[in-house]
Amino acid sequence: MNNDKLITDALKSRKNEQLSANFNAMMMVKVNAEAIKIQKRKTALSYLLVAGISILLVALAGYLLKGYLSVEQLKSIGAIFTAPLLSPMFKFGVFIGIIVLLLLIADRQFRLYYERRVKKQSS
Amino acid sequence: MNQRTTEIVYIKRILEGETNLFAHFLDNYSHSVFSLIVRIVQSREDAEELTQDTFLKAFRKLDTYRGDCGFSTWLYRIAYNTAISEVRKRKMIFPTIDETLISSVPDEDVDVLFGEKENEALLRKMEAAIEKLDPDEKTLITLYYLEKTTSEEISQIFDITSNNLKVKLHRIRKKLYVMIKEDNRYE
Repeated sequence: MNNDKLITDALKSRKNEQLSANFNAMMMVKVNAEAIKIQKRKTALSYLLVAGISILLVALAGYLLKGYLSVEQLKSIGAIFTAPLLSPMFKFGVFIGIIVLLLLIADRQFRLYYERRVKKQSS
Repeated sequence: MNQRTTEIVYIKRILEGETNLFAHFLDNYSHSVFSLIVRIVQSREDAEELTQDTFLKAFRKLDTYRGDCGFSTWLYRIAYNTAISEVRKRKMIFPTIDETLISSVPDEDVDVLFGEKENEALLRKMEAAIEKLDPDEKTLITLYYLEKTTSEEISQIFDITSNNLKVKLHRIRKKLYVMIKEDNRYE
């Protein structure tokens, strides 16, 4: 069946229709643009995910605090935010904030270092 | 390293960010994908546009390629679906031929006619008959006769069994025979 010369020849006659000479180059431009678009979409999605999880955690924390702490205890936590500047409570709040910030920066640096190492190994 | 393994390695690297390696697939397959699509849609300009769509779709779905079939099979399936949906959108009409007429044709007669050597008039008739086939049939014979795709690969592209494929090819040959003979009758 595969030797049906007549069919093969008839099909070949249309084979002389060719793609534009710059088709592959043009296509690569589109593919690169698409890759950037996909990357942006992935980044946006991961930001959304982090934001969603953060909101969820804050809501959960709020719910737990409301259920497990008394009104008096909640008032003392609120005092951190309403305490006058330079009061020991405010200073403690700033101290904790700085520690959290430093930990976040360290986490980011470690992640970047790890990504660089993986990239170097794969290349 | 065989072709499939090489292609899987390329795909892995593309997914890791080496987008420029996609040029390898364009160099290897753009012409065969185009020649398949041009057969189905009958227009060079549309075929070029659909070839672009095919490769963009392939690039977007690259992470879904599992390697259980050849990359060309996977790509042809995308090309076929892209071209077929375009044809359906246009609502093109293809002539139908009485099934009893097709099944009554003896295999020997088909073999004799299709095995004929250089005959310009017959070749033109065959070209015209192929143009009248429906898109599925055109794709099938293009892959089988022109691209020399294996029966196994074609079965995977069309999602049919190899026995079913043989039956379809058999039927297309007889249909082409009937169309050529009918063409002769009106001369």
